[in-house]
Amino acid sequence: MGEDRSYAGFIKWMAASLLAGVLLTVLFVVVVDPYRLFRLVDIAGFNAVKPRPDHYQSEIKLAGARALRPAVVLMGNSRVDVGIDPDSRQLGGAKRSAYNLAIPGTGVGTSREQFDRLRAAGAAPSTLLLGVDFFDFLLDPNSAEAPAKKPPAGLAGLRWKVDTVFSLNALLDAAKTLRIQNDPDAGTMTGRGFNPLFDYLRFARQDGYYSIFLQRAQENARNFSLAPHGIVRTRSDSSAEWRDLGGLLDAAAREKTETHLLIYPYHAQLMAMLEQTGLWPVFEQWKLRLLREVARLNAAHPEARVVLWDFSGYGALQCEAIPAKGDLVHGTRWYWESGHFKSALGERMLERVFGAAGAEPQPEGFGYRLDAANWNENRDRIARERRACLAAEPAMFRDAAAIVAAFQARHPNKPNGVSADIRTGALPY
Amino acid sequence: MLFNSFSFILLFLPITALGYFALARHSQVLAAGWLAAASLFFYGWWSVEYIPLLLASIGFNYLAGRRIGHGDGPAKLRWLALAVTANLLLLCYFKYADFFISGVNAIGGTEWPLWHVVLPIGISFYTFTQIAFLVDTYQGKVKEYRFVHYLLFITYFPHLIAGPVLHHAEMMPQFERKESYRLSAANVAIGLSIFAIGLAKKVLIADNLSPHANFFFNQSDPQGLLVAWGGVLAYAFQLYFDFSGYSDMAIGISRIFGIRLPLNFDSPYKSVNIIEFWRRWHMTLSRFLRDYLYIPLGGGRRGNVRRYLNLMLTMLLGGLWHGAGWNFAVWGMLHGAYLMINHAWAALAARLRLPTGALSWRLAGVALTFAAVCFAWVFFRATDFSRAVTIVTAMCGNDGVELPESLAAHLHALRPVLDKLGVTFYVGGGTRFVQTWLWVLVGAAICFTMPNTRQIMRRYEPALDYRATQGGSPTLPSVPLAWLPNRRWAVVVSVLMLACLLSLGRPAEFLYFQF
Repeated sequence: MGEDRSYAGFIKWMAASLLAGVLLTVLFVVVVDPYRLFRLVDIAGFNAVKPRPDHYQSEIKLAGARALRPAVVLMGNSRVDVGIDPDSRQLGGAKRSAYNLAIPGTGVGTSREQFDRLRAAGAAPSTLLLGVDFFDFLLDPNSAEAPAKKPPAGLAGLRWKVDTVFSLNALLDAAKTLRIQNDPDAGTMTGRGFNPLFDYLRFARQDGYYSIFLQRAQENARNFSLAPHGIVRTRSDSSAEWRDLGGLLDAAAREKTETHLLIYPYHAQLMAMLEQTGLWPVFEQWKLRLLREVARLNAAHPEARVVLWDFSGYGALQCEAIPAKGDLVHGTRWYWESGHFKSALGERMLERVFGAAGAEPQPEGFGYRLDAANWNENRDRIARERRACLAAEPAMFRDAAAIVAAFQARHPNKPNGVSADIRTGALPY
Repeated sequence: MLFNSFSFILLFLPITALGYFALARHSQVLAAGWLAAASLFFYGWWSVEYIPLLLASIGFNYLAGRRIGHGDGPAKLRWLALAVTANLLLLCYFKYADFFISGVNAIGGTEWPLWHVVLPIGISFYTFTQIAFLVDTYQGKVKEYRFVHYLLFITYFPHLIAGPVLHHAEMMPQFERKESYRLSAANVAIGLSIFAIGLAKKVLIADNLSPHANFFFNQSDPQGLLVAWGGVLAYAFQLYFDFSGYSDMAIGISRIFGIRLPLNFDSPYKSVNIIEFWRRWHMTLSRFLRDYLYIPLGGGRRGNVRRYLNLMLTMLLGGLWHGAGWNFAVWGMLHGAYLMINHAWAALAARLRLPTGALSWRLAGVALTFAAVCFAWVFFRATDFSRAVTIVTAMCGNDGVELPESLAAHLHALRPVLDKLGVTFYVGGGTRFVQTWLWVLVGAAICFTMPNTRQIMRRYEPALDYRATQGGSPTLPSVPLAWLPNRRWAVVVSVLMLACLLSLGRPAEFLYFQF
């Protein structure tokens, strides 16, 4: 009997301490609020600075956008996430509330879903800046269409709400929130969804920009060498990515949202690797197809306001010199590495798009408003820029070729189009 | 439904247990029926479409068992042969049809299309369990034939998907016993504690090792010695914590219902030789292979050559049981070869009177056994044979020793020494390298210095065939932990449980579900 009592006592104590643990955890996460979901307490030095979430970023950012109901929304992948600051003078100066809804590692499908959810919440923006990434559209023309992934519905759709209050990630992020208040190198997310990538500053100090560029270049050499060389499926002359883009543009037009499509300003090293791996002609086909998509939209919605901006090229900004090996002193002004630009360059992009008064003078050709009529002119521009960049930075082109050649020598039997996940939206560290 | 999911822990398990003990007050048969029905629901959560197959298999084997049990003479043997053949054919169809067709295509140059048969979850386990039942029936070891108990014996949800592989004779008396139907605070306390330990092994350790092991085995670039060993060790510990965690959870859940399951793991990586390893790793499968394959083949009774042949054949088939692929065959044959060498060495060591019981011998034995097991895991896990060879080559140091460049800055005075030794540095992957090795060290520390679940729960007969002396003499000293039903342990278990619940956000399947 006494033994039974000790087992019953054990169960009671276990249940009570478990319940207490659950309640304390939830209370701690709600008060510290690492994802800005509750906004009960906001004290500088305690929890004002928030960490960048690793999970449920789409849902967390969407909740932030819903709360702020911004006039301008920025969408895209990590290039926009770390590259365009919604607190920019260009947006703030014009008193236009903006939010960065870009999600690393995602394609247009995610942007479309987010726009639909904003619209459903009555928070459709008046202006949309959408970064479109060439690499998201690459596919094997003969491959079968993958079934569309349905977003979680019902209880599963609410799972993120539980996990952002009661999970190890939420608990650790709450603890991290307390720890990073005075850490200048912490990975954070601003109240407007921007990722300033402060954590890269530490890598840059320790390893130098040369190493960061080199690591990205090696990944690009692999990904580009293995990448398929198509942008549409032969059978349908389309793909899920194109359908998502069309659907998003249609939805934006119906909401009378002014839309700016941005072709990213890839660094010259990355552009050179596109050439080395035979992807350059595909890149041009892709731009033409984007033009076709804009033309289709204008025909379907004469009132639509959509502009295609080509920020790609080899201009003075994209041709920024890569610091030398072992150089831990000199940094870069415009790029983190060849795939990701800094917010300083993002600011230049916004100046180009919004053309605000007082903006710094733009280098000629940076941000080309592309249409069918000036297609050849734009090609000539890029060719001109390339000649100048090659003359200024011959080693950059040589190194890019060498890195691609080294990968292809190690993998001689891997033809293009073999199952590489080409999405370079993820950051290398 | 996964053991490591909120739906199982917060809904299925409490509802099933409450229903079981409530019905048991009125009728044991009703309670057993409820548990069998709940088990079918549990299975149906995975694949409703395979419930008819499971029920047909149970019905067929039950009837065949009755025929065998009540028959005599040659008819009894004919029924056994027929039923075992039917079970093996069913397993072969679902598991090996495509393997067979691709083999024929490769050898004969034919182009027969593959059937792309989907493997019903748990089929390997419930087929083996029923083959054992048929053989036991033939040998006259089966006394109980109540259908509801047989149905429960096969479908019983703690073991249905990934074992342990059960013997009819060890389960039926428990389903008959009145005490099994009475809610007991002792069983609940002990069961929940074992379950919490198993859950922690899975979600706190194995699931944290998993991304590092997966990354290593899926990447295609060559790697140096340290990267290769890091990746392989991450997988070795992931597999152990995943599968032994599952087994602990099964044992713990079953104990709540008053049913003891057999032990499946007993610190296998502490084994001093490969023979002992197979007595401590997936013990119920080893028992099955020994009783229903190795011994019927003749075991060691017909001389050494025949014994070695039987060992090799048993391990080869054991390998192929895990999956239809050459990798599994190579893994099985490697272990067959290890066992042959071990038996030969044991005979030689005995003849030479080597002091193999000494601590230094035993430690060397543990290290060698663990290394051999890790080499074999490469073939078990690698995506293809050539990838496995690349990894093994790197583990032997043929690709040199490489470290991430980001570590170089922290090496200070060591850097020139490493340069002199030919250690090179590569760009990127520093975080992955450090995290992989940190998790490997965590896994190793727990594996080699902590007592296992059986040892922690040793005062409370945690498993069916528990014996205090099980597992041979201790190879390594371990932290002395012994569970007691007191407040301190209640808090420890609740903290463990809280950490697990916090980690259930993205439940990952158990590795052995694929077999």
